This record gives sequence, C-alpha cells and structure tokens, in this order.
Amino acid sequence: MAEPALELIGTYVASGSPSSVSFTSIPADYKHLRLELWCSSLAARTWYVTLNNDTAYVYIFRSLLFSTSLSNSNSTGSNFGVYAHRSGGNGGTTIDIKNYADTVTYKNISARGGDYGGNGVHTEGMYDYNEGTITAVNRVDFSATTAINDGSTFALFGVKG
Amino acid sequence: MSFELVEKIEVGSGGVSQIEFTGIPQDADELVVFFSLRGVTATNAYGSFMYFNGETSSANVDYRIGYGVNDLENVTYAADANYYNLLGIQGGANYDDTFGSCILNFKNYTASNSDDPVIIHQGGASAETASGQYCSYGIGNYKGGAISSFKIVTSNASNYAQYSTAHLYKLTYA
Repeated sequence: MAEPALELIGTYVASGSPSSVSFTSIPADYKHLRLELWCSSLAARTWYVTLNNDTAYVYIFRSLLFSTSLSNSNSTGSNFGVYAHRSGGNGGTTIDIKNYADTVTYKNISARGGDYGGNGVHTEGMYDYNEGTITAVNRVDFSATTAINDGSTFALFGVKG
Repeated sequence: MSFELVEKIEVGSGGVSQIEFTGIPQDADELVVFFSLRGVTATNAYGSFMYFNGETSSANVDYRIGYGVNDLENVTYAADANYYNLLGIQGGANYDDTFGSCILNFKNYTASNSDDPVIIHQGGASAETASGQYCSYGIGNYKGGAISSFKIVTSNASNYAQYSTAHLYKLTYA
C-alpha cells in the first residue's frame, strides 16, 4: 500500500472560552497544509487567520458569498477573513495553504465553508503580497471578534506531495 | 479511509504548454487535485480548460460555475461542451511571483453503476491588487464514462510558468 498522504499534525478543542487558537512550530515536511474547523463564537461569523504571527498589511483576498443571492467582495488587510459560523450555531470551514513551506511562491490560501444559517462562502487569497519577501509558513493563528465557544474544534493536517 | 498521492507535476524552467495526468488508477472512490498555477504572458490569463480522456472535440461536459471579479459576480454554464472551464485559477505574469490556486474533486470518477463522474472545483487567481483577484466555484459532469486521464491548458494558449505545481491524490472511502 502506498504511504498515506494526509497526516494529522495537531488538534485543538476549545475550553475556557479562549480568544484565539494557535498552531505553532509547524513542521516543513509536507507540501500543503489543510485545516478543518468546526467552531462557533458568541457573535460574528467571520474568523480571522494570520500566518507566521504576521499582522502587517500583507493579506489580500476575494470572497464569493452564496446566500439569498450571489455576491462577491475583496479585501486587503492585516489578516485573512473566513466564514465559519453564525452566532448561535456551529459552522464548518476547510482551509488549504498550498506550497506552504517553499520560498519561491507567495502563499495561496483557499477557504470554503458555511454556517448553519445556510450561507456558503468560498474565499481565495494570498499572503505576503506586498512585502516583497516570500516566506515559508510555520504558524497559523485563529481568532474571532468574541471569545471562542468551548468545544470548537480545529484540526491541522499535513498533505504530502 | 485512505488518501494517497498518485502523481505530482512541478513545472521547470521554460514552462510547459499543458499539464496532464494519464493512466489514473481506477481503484479509488474519488480524485483530489491541488493546483498552484501561473501563466507566462503579460496579460492575466485567469482560466484553464480541462479536457478528459484525450477528447478535445467531444461534447461530454456540462458545468455551471459561479465567479466573482472586480464588482461583478455571475454564473456561467455550458451543456455538451468539450472541456470544463476552470475559471479564475491562474495567476498572471504581470504580478510577480503570484500563483492562482484550485482544489479539484472528481467524485465517482470510475463511473461506477454507470453514473457520470462529478466535477467540483473551487479556485482563485491571485493578484497584487484587490480588484484583480478572482474567485470561482463550479460543478459539472463528465458524460464520457470513467476518467482515466485529464489535462489542462491555459485559456489563451500560453505556457504555465516555472514553479507551477499539480498534485493528484486518490481518496478511498472504506
């Protein structure tokens, strides 16, 4: 049998209403990273992602929202926003970071998910777009506008390639 | 469940005109592809066309794709097309070192029980301006039976640039 190409790096289940979740010292042994979120907080549906604890103005992305109608928006900022839930219920999101460990390409980020209210969002974006540097990713942080509800689950996988 | 790498393609210096996977094993339930793509032309070449089983003139593909770019969002569809249109998955050469991306799933790719394979893609073209970013999501069917090979070419017949990558995985449910 071929070697498995998907390996669990770490899992975090929220307790004590944390304000953020971090995966640090991510090994560079894989080709891509995949993050699976099943989570909720008390308020907004948007979650904020940063890479390498970098909160400079280095994220750029566009989102396609499927709600009662189709809409899209773009943003640049100091974090990468993904939809994962609406207040009062969990939502799920899958995030892929391609070629995360190399130093020759800017980092693609894909996020797709939705919330219990029936809204689906697909977001594509890029990290480090205006710094002029290309950086390998070794850390991912998540936060919401309010405390993260206990039981929210975050799983980080490495994808071999 | 198992998730295994089938093949990887990493484009070298000089680029290539197409990226192709052939001889795809028929012993899994689903295929998953990770693309990171960039064109070599000075204009943005946001799309790629995907052909199946060596067919370039057949009419075996149906698809419907939602996309957003600038202040526009739209849905496009085609019936009996000869390719699947991977809208908005490719970075343009006028943005340094930016690569578009795509996650592609082929469900029921072996056409078990005579049902058609299902194509699902989500992608986006990176750009160093917010207005240039592209985002797309689509679903389609391939009506020509099991998928044993597929290839992509750029929509403007240019080359894929160095460091473009494609990784093909197979997923087995049981």
